[in-house]
Amino acid sequence: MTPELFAEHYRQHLPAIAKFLARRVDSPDIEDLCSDVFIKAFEKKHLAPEGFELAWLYSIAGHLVANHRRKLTTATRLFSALSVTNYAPSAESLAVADLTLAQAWQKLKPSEQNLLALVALDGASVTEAAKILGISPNAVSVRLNRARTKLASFMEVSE
Amino acid sequence: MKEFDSPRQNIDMKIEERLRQADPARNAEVLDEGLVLKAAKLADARRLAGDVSEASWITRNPRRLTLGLSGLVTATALATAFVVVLPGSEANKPLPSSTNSIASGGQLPTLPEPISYSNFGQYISPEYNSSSQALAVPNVVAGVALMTKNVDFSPSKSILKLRPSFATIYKVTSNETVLDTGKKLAELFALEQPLRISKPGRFGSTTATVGSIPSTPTLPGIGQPNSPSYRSVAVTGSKNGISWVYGNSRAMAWRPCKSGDSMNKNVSIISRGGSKGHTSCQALPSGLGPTSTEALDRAKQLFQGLGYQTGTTVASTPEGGLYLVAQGFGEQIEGRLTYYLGTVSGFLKIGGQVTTLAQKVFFTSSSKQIVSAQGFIGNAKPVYTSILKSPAIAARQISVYDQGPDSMQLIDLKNPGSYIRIDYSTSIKKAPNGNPVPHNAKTKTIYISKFHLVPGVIQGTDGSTWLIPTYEFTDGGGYLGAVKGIPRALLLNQDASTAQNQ
Repeated sequence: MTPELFAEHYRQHLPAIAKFLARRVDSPDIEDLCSDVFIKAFEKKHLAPEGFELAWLYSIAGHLVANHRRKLTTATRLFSALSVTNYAPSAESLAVADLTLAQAWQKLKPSEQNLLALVALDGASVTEAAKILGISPNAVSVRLNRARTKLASFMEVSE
Repeated sequence: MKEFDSPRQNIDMKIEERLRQADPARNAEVLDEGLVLKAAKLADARRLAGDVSEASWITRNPRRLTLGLSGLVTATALATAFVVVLPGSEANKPLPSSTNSIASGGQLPTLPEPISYSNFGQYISPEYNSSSQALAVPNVVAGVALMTKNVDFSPSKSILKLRPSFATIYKVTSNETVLDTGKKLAELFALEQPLRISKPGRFGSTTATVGSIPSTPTLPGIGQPNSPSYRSVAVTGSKNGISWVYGNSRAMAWRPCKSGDSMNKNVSIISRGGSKGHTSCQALPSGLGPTSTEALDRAKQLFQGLGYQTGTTVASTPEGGLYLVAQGFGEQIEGRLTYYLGTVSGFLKIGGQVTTLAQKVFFTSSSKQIVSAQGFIGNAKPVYTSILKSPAIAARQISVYDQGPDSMQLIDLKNPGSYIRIDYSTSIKKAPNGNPVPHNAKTKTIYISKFHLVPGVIQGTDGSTWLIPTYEFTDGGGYLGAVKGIPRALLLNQDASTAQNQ
């Protein structure tokens, strides 16, 4: 596939990927990371699952966000890099609009934040989320329900 | 999903709604869509800078059958602007193709933008375009044409396994001026008259002419009995390429008809015409033309005067030289040309391969003189590497009529002036023939099992000429079709009429 054909197929996903990144990294880094996502996607284009290209791009973007955060953390706190496993939006980014939600969000596990963000913010379906996270759709449904319940209970307590 | 049916749904949706309202990306900056293409090109360039393998171009099997439509072949050969590559100032030494620069296509940059090309070249009129397509219809009125709606080409398992490779694209550019070429040709054809040069025109092209130019447009080589006599050279071109044509109506030795003249016996052509009430008859006698050896020698002399080295076998043809092929010379009258027109074509050998890029010299049966010639002057240089379509994808793009955007016409090396169309696959030969197949007939799938990668010629709308890797497919039993090897996205097809309107 030529770069032109690739761009023809994938440019439709650019807004979604840009928003995905905007939820997770600072504004100055969005464009660079977005470019990295499509560079990586072109390099691995033969691995793209047909019909799930956006989910596949989310998966790539997620890894890049994790790496990006790891680099930032490494720059300030040596040896803490391996602890970074979450690439969901931070509570701080949500707090601007909803402080209660942000406080409850902070109490969720990183994996629960990831899953909720993928479905509620990034618009991924259960099947797509399963592809992105590499788990079964059933597991996604169960964990999603659990995360929603926990977030709701945390918010009830907060409110 | 099951959990959405539970009473928790409303609460869940409320939470998700609150999450959406708090979405940090609600007012995110909109990025330029060009980012995706830039990223892909960057990744592609990085990849090419690493491990790149280049496909080798395999010499085609020259075994081909002629079309057998002599009139069509002649008209097509005369009117089609075939192009030729010349070493130019590097006469008597190999083209750069003999150096590593041609072999190392992987080191070249990738194609940065589409090649704007025309099926018929910029100098061919739309009228010719349409008429030649009409003339070409008999080419395919065979079994395969009649069953085209029921033929499906499919790659065999062995082809499906093959991955896309990379290959080099060559561009032909001139390395001398139109004026210099005109002087050289005037000397070679012994035209001792002043050279005229035009002002720059379209695409910055100029035209140099020498000799007596007919006042009315006449196809070179087809001298009519009552047309004005002329002998001239016209050279036209720009930095993108130079083409030339020579015509000599005096080489057509017409004489009045005699009783008993017959095209089946002693003359090649009888032309009847004249004003109302007065019928004249002119005969073009046959058997006075050169032998094929004489014609080859004359063509060799001409090409060498233009700076080529030549050979009459592929092995003996030097790199950058011309592989000479003579065709159409009968043997009924002491080996002399008995057919109306005989042709000597010089096919460029580049990268170790004989391409379909050719220049031509035509002789008639009535004179040993050259009746017409045409060619192109320039250097073929490797300019790009391109990833190819996979053989399987290309195999599915075969067009029976050779008119699809992916199709490619290859010139038959053994029969200059004719396209490879008739040496059909054994699978096609077994197909229904003679009557159109009903539309509801069962589709016949032909499995393509073999291919060669050969250099095919396309002409840019700016007068440039390109050699692009081309798949030539067979199913083991015969020729099936040729498909452009580089992806469609890298080719911008503009036919002659479109180009002229720009």
